[in-house]
Amino acid sequence: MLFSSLEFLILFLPLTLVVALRLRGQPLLRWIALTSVIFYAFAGHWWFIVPMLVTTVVDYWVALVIEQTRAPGRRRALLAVSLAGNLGLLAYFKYAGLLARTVEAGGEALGLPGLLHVTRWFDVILPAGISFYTFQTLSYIIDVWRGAAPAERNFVRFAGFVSFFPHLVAGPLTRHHQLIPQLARIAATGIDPRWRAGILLFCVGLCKKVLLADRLGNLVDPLLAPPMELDTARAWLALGGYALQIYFDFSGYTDMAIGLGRLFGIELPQNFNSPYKATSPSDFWRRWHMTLSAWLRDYLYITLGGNRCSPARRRVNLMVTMILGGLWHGANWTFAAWGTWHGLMLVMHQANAERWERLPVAWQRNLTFLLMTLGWVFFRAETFPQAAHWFAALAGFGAGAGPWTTEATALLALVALGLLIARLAPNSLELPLERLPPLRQAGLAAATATALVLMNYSSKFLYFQF
Amino acid sequence: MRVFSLTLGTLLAVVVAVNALGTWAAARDEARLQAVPTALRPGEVALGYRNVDERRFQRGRLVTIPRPRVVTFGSSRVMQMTGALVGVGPAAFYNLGMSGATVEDYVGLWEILRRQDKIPERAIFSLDPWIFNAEVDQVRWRTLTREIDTFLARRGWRTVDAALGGWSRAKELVSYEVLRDSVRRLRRLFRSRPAARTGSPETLIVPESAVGDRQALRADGSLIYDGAFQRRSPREVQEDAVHWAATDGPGLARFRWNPERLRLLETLWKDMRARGVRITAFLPPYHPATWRVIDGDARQREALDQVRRALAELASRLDVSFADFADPASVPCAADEFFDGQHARPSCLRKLLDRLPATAR
Repeated sequence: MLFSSLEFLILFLPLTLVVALRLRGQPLLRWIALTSVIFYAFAGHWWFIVPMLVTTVVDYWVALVIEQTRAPGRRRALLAVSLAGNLGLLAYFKYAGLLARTVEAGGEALGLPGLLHVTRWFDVILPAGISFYTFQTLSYIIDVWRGAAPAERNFVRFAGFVSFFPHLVAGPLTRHHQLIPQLARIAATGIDPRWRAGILLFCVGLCKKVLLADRLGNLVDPLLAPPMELDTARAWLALGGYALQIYFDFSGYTDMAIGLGRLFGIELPQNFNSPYKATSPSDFWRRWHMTLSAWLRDYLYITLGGNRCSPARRRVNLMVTMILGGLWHGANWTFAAWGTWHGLMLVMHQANAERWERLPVAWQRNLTFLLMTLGWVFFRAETFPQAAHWFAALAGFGAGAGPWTTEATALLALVALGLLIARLAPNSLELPLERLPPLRQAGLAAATATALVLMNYSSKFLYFQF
Repeated sequence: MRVFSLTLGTLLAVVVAVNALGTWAAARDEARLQAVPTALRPGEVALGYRNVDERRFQRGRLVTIPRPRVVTFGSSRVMQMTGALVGVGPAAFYNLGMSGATVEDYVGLWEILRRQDKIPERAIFSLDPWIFNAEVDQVRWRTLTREIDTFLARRGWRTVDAALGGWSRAKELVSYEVLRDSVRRLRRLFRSRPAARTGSPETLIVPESAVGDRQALRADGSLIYDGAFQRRSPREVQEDAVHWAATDGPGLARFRWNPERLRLLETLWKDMRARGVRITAFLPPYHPATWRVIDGDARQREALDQVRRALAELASRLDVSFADFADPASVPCAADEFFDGQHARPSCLRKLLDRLPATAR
C-alpha cells in the first residue's frame, strides 16, 4: 500500500485515525502497532512482517537483559547477539543476492558454472523498509548497551516504535528517543492531531511526488533505457531530470510521512533541508537524508574514531562510512561507487576547505550541485558499463545528436521548474502551513486535486527499494 | 484551511461529476453497441469499438456466432488475427482477443463457449508475460465474474470477490484516464445531432469496405485500427515503443510471480484438452526497440525467462504446442511490422503463424 493510493487515503488512513482518536493507553498503542503491521503486510508480501516481528521481539528482549546485566563480557555477548541477528537478516535479504551475483560472475570468469546452482538459493526478495527498521533497532540496542538510554519495558510501545507506519517503509530513520517518548505521551493523553499542519504538509509531499517526481521519471526513464543512446544534450538533461526526480520523490515521501505523523500527534524528524542549496559536499550531507547521515555519523564514523585521530585515519574513516552508506542504499556495486564518489568529495573538500571558502557563495553552491548531481550517475546506472556510457555522453563522446523532440522540450521545462523550486523555494518544513494565505491554500488545493486524479498512474517510491 | 478544503472538495466533485456523466454517456453508447453482436454478419464491421466493455460485447457475440473451428485467446496484441491469416474460412474462425485480457478472461470466455456447446477444434493462445506478474493490477475481467465463478465453483475453488470489482469501478471516478475519456465522450455527445444521439444499432454496422479511417471490429472478432494509428511514421512508432518499454509498459520491470494465474491456466488447459481441443500457445513478439530495452535490462530478462520456463514446462506436461516469439528476430518481424511497441501488424502475425510447430497448424 502506497501513501499515494486511494486505498490508503480513502480506506486505511481514515479508519485507522478515527479509531485511534477514540482510544487511550495500551489499546491505542496496540491499535497503532496492529494497523502498522497490516499496512506493512500490504507493502509487498505478507511475509515481510516475519523478519520485522523477529527483529522486534529479539531486540526488545535483548535490551531488557542488557540493562539488567552487569558483567561487561556478557553485555558484549548480548550486543553481539542483537547485531548478528539484525545485520544477519539484513545481510541475507539485502546482500545475499549481490554476493550470489558476484560469485556467479566470478565463477563464470573462472570457468566454474557449477557455482550458479548454489548461489541461486541466496537470491531472495528484499522486504521493503528492512534497512530502515534494522538501523532504528540497532541504534536503540547500541544506546542501551552504552547506557545512554533505558530499555523500553512496554512491548507494545516498542513494537509501535519499530513499526509506526508513517516512517516504516522509507523513513525518516527515527531514533528511539525521538519516538518512544511521543508514543508514551499520546498513550497517556490521547492523540492531539495537528490537522492543518499535517494535512497540508501531506498534500505538499503528494504534489512533489505525483506532479514533479513521476512526471520527470516518465521523461527520464526512456532516455536511460537500454541501449541508452544518449547525445550530450540528452545526457545532461537526463542527469538533471534524475537529480530532481529522486529529490522530489524522496523528499515528497518524507513530507507525507511527517504530515501523517502530525495527524497522530507525533512529530517525525526532518529529513531534507533544501539539499540543492548546499554550499559544500559536507553541507550537502547535513541537508540530504539527514536522519541517515546522523545515524552514520553517530554509530559508524564516531565508532571508527571520527575526528579524534590523525588526518589520514580520519579520511579513511570518512571513506569507509560513505562506502558503507552507499551500500546501505542498495545491493549493487554501483551504490558502493556512489558512496566512494561522495567519500572522495568530502575528503577533497576537507583537504581544501580554506580554498573552497574563498570562492563566491554562488560558485560554491553551483559547484556543489554539479558534483552531487554527477554522483547520481552511479546511483541510477544499473551496471558500470552503463555508468561509463553515461559519463562518456556527458563528456561529449555519446551518440550523434538526435532530433529535438517535444519530450525533450517537456523535460527541459520540468528540469527548469524543478531547479527553481529546489534552489529558490523555501523548504516544505519552512512553509507557514498553519497560516497559509487563502490564495496559496487554493493553489495547493488545485495542485492536490490534480495529483489525486493523476495518482492512479504514479509509480512506487524510489526509496522503497532500499 | 477552509479555502483549501472548499477548493479541493469542489474540484474533486467536478471530476467525479464529469466522470459520472461520462460513465452515463458511455453506458448509453454501450447499450447501442451491445445490441450489435446479434446483428453483425460476416463482411460487416461494428463501429465505435473503443473504450467499451469488450467482455460484455464478446459475451453477446458468442451467443450469436456459429460454432467456430479455431479460436484465439489473448490481449489486444492478438486482435489483428483473422481467419484468413490462420488459414480457415471466416465463419470457422473467431477472435476472442480483448484489451488487457488475463487468464481469468480466457476462463470466462471458455465457460461461455462450453455452455453454448461451441467447443472449437483448436485454440491459439497469445500469452502476454505480464499476466503472470502479481504487481500488475488488471481487473477488466471482472465483467465475466459470473462465468468465472461457475468454472471455479465446479472445481470447488474459491470464487471471485465481487466487492473488489466495485472498488475498482469506484476508483475510476477520480481517474485521469477516465476523465480524459469522459470529456471526449461528453463533447461528442453535445456536438452530435439529436438523431445521431438516439441512433439505432444498425447505424453502427457498416460493410467492411465502408469502414474508412474508423476503428472497427469485424464479425470474426478481429480488430481494424483507425487510420491515424495505422499511418504513424516509423519514427513515431519507434519513439512510442521505447517510451512504452522504458515506462514498464511490458510489465516486467517490477515482477512478482503470480502462481495462481499459472494454476488457473493449467486448470483451463486441462479442461480444454479433456474436451479434445488442440492448443497452441506463444509469447507474442515485441517491437525491436522494445525488445532491446527488455533484453538489456537484467530484471526484465529474468522475469521473461521465468515466464518462458514455466510455460514451456506446463505446455510439455499438457501436450500443448508452445513457441516463444518475444524476440522479434525469432519470427522474424522488422520494426515496420508493428503499430507500436507491442502490437504486430498482420504481416508479422502471418509469419508467426507460419512458424508455429507443424503439429499445431
